Amino acid sequence: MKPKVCVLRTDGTNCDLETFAAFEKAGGDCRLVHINRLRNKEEKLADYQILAIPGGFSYGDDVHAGKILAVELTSFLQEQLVEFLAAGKPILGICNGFQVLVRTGILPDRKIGEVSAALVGNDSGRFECRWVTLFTENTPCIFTEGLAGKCLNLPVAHAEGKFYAGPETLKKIAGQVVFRYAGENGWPTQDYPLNPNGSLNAIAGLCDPTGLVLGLMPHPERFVEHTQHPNWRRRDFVGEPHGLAIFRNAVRYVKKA
Amino acid sequence: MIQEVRVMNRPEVPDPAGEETLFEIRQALGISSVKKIRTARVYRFEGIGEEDAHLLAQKLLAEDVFQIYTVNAPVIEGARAVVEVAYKPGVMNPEAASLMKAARDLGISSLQAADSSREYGFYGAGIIPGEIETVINRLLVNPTVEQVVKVKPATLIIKGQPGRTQTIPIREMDDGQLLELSRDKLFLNLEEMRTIQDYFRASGRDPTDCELETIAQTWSEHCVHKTFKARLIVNGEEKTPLLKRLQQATAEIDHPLVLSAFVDNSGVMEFYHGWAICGKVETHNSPSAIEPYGGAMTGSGGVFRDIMGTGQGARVIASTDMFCFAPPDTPREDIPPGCLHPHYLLRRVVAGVRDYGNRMGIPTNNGSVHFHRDFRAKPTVIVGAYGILPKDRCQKGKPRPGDLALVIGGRTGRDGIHGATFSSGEMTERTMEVNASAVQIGHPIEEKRMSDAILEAGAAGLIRAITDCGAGGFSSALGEMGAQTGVRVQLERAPLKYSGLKPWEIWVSESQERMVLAVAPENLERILEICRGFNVEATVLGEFTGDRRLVVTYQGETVCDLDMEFLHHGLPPRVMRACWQESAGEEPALALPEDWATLYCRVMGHLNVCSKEPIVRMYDHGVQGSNALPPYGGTAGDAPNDAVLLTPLDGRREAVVISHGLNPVLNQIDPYYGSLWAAAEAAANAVAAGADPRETVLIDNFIWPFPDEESLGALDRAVDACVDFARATGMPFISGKDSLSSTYRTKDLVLKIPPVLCVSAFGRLPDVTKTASADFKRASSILVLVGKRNPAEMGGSAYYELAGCLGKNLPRIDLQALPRVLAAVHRAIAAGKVLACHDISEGGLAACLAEMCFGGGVGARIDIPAGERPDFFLFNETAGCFVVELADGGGEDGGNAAEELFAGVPCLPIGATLPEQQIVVCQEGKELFRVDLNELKETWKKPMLKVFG
Repeated sequence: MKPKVCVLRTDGTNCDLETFAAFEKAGGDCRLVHINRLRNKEEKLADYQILAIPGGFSYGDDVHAGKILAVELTSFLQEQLVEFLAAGKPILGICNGFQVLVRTGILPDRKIGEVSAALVGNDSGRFECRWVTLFTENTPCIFTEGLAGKCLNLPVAHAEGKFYAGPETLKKIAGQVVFRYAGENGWPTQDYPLNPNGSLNAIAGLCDPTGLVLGLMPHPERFVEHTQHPNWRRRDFVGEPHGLAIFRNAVRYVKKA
Repeated sequence: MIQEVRVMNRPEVPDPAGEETLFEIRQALGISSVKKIRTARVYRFEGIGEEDAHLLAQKLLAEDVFQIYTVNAPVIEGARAVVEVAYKPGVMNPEAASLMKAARDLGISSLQAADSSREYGFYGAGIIPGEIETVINRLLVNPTVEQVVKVKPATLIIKGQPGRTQTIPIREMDDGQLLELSRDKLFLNLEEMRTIQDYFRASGRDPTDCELETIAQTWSEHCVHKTFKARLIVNGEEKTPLLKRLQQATAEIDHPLVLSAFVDNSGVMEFYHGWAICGKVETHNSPSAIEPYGGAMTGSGGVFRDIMGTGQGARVIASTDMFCFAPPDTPREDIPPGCLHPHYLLRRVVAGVRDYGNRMGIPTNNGSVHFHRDFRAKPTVIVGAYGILPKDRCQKGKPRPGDLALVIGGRTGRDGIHGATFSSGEMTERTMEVNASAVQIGHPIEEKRMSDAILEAGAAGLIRAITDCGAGGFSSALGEMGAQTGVRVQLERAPLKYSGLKPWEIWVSESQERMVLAVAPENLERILEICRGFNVEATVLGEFTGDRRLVVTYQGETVCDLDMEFLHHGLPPRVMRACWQESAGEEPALALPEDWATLYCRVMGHLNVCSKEPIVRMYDHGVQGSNALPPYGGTAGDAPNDAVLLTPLDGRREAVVISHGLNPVLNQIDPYYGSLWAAAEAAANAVAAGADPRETVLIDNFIWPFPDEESLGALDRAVDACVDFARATGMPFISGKDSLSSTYRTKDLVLKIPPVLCVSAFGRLPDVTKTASADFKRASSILVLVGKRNPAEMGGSAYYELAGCLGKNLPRIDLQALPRVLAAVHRAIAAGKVLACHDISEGGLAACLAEMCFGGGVGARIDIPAGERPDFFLFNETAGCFVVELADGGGEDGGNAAEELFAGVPCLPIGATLPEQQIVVCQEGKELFRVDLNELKETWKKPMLKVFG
């Protein structure tokens, strides 16, 4: 049985089709589900094994990136989300999806309505579209099984991706940092543009304490084919495109569970 | 009472918006007394109490982690000055709807209206009030759409009494009165005004304002292309009308892959596996000149809708942008009255294209920026879009009598009224004042959800016909769609942004993000349901009839009743005279340079050669996951490629290639060869990336001064060049647009903006892995120059401009040689023999080589043949020539690979790549000079870093 993946979309979601394609390639059985269908009960989250919140500009990223959708999820789908989390099902938030997960409070603490971190405007003051190197930390994150200690190349494309939290929170979540922006040698860095947004502690991606929820600013769904890499003509690839493992791991986890 | 919430970042958190404004104040205005800027967002709510304002602040507006807020109190403290900048009332603030929605979601039901704006706090002991005024006037506020808020507004709700329809006594008017009626409003000439007068005299009644507006819009240059359709007398001899010449060439080529040319909202060619691809390129110069951010946004939005409105609906897969500005450091006193400074224009246009494309999720991945002093009165802003659609739904639909006219998307307001007629007129000092309403701020999310709905409705077969509500609004969309049938519209049904619009205003409003569909009555319910599912408003405005009349009623009153035949065929055909004289320019006699390395750097730092990477990094070129050749690549990700390659079908290798070419400077010398250059550049860019010239098609965009005899003579030559190019190469033009208003006129100043022909090319490729990028792949490769050029043809080059001259002897593309060159380069790449390929353009061979070195992280050594002038050889800019990196010298049977690959085409081995980070230039084996790559790269990157930081 292929795990059923709910690719959530709403006004302004725009990475839904490639996220869909990435999960399909990884062996998922995907549906594009507009939030209206969840709100009016035509669909329910409980029918899915994986929830993906793709990138884009939900509701124009008005007020704060992902905020309006976070308010909507918190107001109308809180019960369904709590149930989904309690059932031990994985949630992936990419770019805008990561912002939404942080703004609902699902990250870093699985506490809906309690916001303890933020993704704020890039230090450069600009939208940044470029490829970055990510160092993968050793965490309980189910999406990065087997990747700990490895570097991934993925693109970022965002204007509000600087991870920000108070010192206490940063300390508390140290073990939940899944990806850090790094130089080619793998060392985490604050140097622009290797760290494209000035994220504190070079945080590019974060999981919850159980490892079932992952949010990240870079776009793994944009590197599931070799030709998506900007320098695929230069490189001799060993193994598969770097983004694919994240989707494959989620599918594998559900199949195993 | 209005509740105000102010939100700002905590003091220890950076404020990028403030820092960016500070950068601009220093760079663009040279003001150094401002030491720090902190910004705050201001939100206003009408209909709620203070308690709810606190709730909104906590749950929605301010995030405690990094922000603080106040309710009904200032938040910025200790600043020398605090300035609030807001959209003017009536300018749609896209954020307002989100505020309303989120408040509803939070259970606040009494909210009636919401708005948002930004406050700037200026810090610095030495700031003098005049400086703040300067910052406001030159940087923060564009009075077309924005204002400084000095007093808290009493209400946020815009109300008004609907105006009445008036009758205009045109039958009685003399010529002077007719012209007065036309001026600033209808933009028609006397003969056209008289034709309208005759029609109503014959009808025995006077027209309504709505009818006059409808005719003026339908007959505007923007909509009907009078000049391109005119009978043309060139130097005393009649020639085929311009448009017909282009269409005839396309018909003669009869390209087997072309599915639709010049008839739909974009041109369509066949792709693979039952899919088709389409392309459209538009200009948005006039709106961008007066409000660059909104103008560029709505330009992007409009061209995306052209794609969405092709066939029975296409998905937009790419966006392109080509701009021409005056240099960003042009002295302020050189900018004509009523015109905006190019530094501001450039930054704001880029921001507009960025925000529309990024938010809609359309990758912007091909473009260019050109600078020339003569664009100081009006920039050229060109935006293109490309789409994919099922082949069996790719033909323009036709409404049938009884079909319903459905408008979907945004609401109608007093936006963009007279956009079609305005953009057809010249720009004057009055333009900024009178036509302020012709610009609005775009709402990409509205368009995105509309696109989602259209794709679903199209896939369900519910769309009979679809078109964009662009220039001319409903009038244009319904008038054209119903031209063969007739249509009856009930205008009071149109959803409005606010009350108080006159019927004619609703009718010609160019409010963005709207489209009109023809839907069979039996499909109405299903399509409405799809629209609801995507939060898209959809309203039946009327129905298509069989009487070939355009009838518009407003609350029972007939406000327009015109014969479609008169409307679409009543325009008197123009006879236009053109004359052409060769430019009087002279060829300079330049001495050979002495300091070669410095010269090389200066050419690399020329505005038309330098890196544009800071712009590209702000565009999301990877969204949709389809990019297979990015705008900038190579080892450091900063070396330009020639074209974009996209794989729009998930997981498949079939690719779309997109490129373009333009060179306004050459058109000033000779528009024929300037235009050939543009077309050759577009084709060569595509081929350098691997395109097959036999499967590539073209799009034209003519941006020309107002067509007086001289400009029309130049236009005639440009069109001839396009036709000759198409015939010689077999690449047909399948879509095009002209904008003939690049003239700025005041009482004592007439400025003709340089004529621009932008040629875009797009095509298909069966296998994306058989393509090439421009970055050198390794040291010790062989370098070959492929293509025919005469190095002495230096006219219009960056090298000449740096020497202060234009020249006359410009590159004359050889149409005999070019097709063979393109075919040979394509064959070599497809055969996998080419490691890297880059086409020569501005900056010549020298710039081409440097960019390839930047990408590969390797150097190069080249040897200039005996007898060639080294400066001409290095800096000649003939398009259609390539530098090709080949793996080794060995051909199939031990022969020479270059000779085998490029047999029968002009081809010259010029050197090899080197492990050293240098370019070494020799002549006859003797070293002429060498220059470090770092040095070249730094000067090449500097100009745009200065503008964008």
